[in-house]
Amino acid sequence: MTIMNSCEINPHSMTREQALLLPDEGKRLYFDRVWLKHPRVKQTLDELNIHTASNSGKSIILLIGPTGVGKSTLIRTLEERFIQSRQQEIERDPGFIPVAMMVAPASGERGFSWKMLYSRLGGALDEPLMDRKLETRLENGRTTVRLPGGTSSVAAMRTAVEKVMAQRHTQLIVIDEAVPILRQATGNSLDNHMDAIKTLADMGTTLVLVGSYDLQKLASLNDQVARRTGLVHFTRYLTGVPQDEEAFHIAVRMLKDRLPIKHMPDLTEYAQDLHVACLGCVGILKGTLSTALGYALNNGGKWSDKFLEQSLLSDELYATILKETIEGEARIKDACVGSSSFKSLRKKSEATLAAVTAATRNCA
Amino acid sequence: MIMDDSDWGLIDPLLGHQLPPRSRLVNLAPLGQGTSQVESLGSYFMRLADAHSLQPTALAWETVFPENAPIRRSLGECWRRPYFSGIGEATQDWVQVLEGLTMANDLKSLTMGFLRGRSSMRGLVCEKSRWCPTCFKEDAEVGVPYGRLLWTFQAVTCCPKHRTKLVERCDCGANDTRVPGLAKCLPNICVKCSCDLGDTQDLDHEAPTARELRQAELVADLLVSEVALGGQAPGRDLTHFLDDSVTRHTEGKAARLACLLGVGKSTFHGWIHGWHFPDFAQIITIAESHGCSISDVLCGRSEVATRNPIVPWSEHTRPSGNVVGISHRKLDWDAIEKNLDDFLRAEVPLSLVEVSQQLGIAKETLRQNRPALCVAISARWKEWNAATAKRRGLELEERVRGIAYGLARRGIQPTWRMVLREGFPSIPSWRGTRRLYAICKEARLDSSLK
Repeated sequence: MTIMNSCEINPHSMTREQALLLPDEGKRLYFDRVWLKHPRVKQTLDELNIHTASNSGKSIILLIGPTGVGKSTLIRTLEERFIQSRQQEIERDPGFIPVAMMVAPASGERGFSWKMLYSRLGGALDEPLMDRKLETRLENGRTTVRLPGGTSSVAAMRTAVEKVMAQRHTQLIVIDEAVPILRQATGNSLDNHMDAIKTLADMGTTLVLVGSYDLQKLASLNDQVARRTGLVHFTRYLTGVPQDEEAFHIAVRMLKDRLPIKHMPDLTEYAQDLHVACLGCVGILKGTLSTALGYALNNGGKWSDKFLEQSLLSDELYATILKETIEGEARIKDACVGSSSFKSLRKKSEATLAAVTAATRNCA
Repeated sequence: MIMDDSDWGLIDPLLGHQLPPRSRLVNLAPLGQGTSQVESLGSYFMRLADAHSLQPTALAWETVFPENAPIRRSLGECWRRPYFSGIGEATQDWVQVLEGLTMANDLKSLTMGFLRGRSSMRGLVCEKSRWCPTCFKEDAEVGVPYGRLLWTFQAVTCCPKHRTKLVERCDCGANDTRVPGLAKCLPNICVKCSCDLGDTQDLDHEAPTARELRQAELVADLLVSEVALGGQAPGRDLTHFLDDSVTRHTEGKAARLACLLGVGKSTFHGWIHGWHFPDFAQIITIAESHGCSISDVLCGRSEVATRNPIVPWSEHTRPSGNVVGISHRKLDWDAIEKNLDDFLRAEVPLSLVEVSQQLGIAKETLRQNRPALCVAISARWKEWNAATAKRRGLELEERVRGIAYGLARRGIQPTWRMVLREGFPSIPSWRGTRRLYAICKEARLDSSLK
């Protein structure tokens, strides 16, 4: 077998039979690159497309879902669609970068590092020399610059990113794992965070923040941000719902068909158990199968059903994720776009008015 | 939830790699392209650096020439200098590299590259940066202020749009006002005091002369012509234009046209034969003399030019300012005629060149206005010159003959070298020298016969 370049290992263009000829490392990479598009992805994407439309009035979109539901896969699909829909502009303007994707940095410091975020954002936009950015000052009609000492200041990096976004005509910025932006901010710094996020979103760019249920807090912290924010819930496949169960079983079958293992048995009998064990999340399912593939490859490429069980989440981890997911789902139920009605809003109005009146009386 | 087959599938994980290559630097559009207000390359590079929030030096060192140490050392702040947008080799290198990095098309149009192979570099680009404050002010009101290519021509000293003279120094220059911090590197920011050069409150707008304005308009027209925009039909050029002009205006006498254009015969022949190019000021003079545009001259379009009577160069003020123009002086031709008459009757005749120098009037002007007197002065001087030369020749012959026969009498072979040793001065004239050799030979023959 010829040694292949890692870029050539692409499940999109390579059959399972061809993958079987790869060395073990290639097989792992092959399965790692199997990104499954499933109905929940399409449904969430359709919702996202409505909000990312330029006239939606929503410049910040929070894409929220449980851990392992497949958010990263979803944003790759979003990128794919976005790029395809702007193919003509991409060909016409060689400087055009319609979408930039990045993962929010968890700096390990006490506060969230905006410097690292801007640095990564600059990297996603192919911006050179992010550590050499100038800070411009305009005082009494005189325009001066402050040269960076060791590295650029946050203000300089922020201005640089804003400028390059305008020059590159960037329309969509996706920040994955965005929860650290909130977790490490309190008090005044949170206000600053809100300002920074608002400014990014005010550039005519739609900002998609992707994360777990904690991210929902962002929408309720600042009315300026809330007004610009749309919330999209990427739900898991629920047990007890026949259509969801059917879809999850298809996902099991499709992923099984892509496992580069000879004489791979049918996993239909495990489909129901996997649905429960993976909390209906396709991402967790793929992670489980990926680990099982590792065991099988260590076993000389021979599959055993016990590998599947060895690859499941631990009881403790499972309980934590399930608890967070259920609580998050309960919290988000009323916050999503489309979850309200005339009746519910009238009730909310009366209740808020009563609460404010009571509070005013108490103060008096 | 209704499912169909299109809901299922695989996402291409390598989609990002399949994107067509993006430009390394932003695809910044040059301003004013296709108009006489086209941006200069220096201004473009400064704006490009600003678009990336970088010092131009950092951008040049780390991105434009990252691995070329000799170039990096020699850069300085060259983008601030007008020659950066000129026709030199370095400018072409910059254009090539910047086009690669920005994927912008036709950055060459931000330089004087279109004059390469048409004009010499001498006197093409001004030495110091110049600008029109009103242009900067108007730019700021409607968009982005930028430096014009037009301002970098040495021949352009005023703004044809606002009819004001270009400014070379900011007000702060007189006071040496420096402010804390580093001035932002942009075409409309003063490098010294960081103020906006479009702030025209304290400026007295000096009006340009008619000639300055005409020259600026000629260059502005050139920037929107097919020569600059690249639509020129191949085949004809400056040499064809001059050929046609010689035929039409001076009856095939190239030397006469050279004289009318104020250049030497050899220089003019060099142009006609394509051995060298006229400098830009001379091209402007040719266009002005023929009453046509610069692009007509450079494209060899002589139809209009040959219909107009030619105006001698002396009627214009040379852009370099080394000859004072006379077209604006009122000349008293009666007094001049009397002076010419006096020169004609002078004891020692003068050449027409000497007469014109003494009167301070170009000889072409004298010839045009008092041709008979000029011909008489020239003829008298030629006659006197020829007679003087003849008389001097005879005197020299006599002296050589005396020395040569003296040597022969002393028994010394009379050679030319021996004549020189006897104190006869070396004669540079070839014809005279040959005659003197003949006298020595004659003396040798005579002595051998005796």
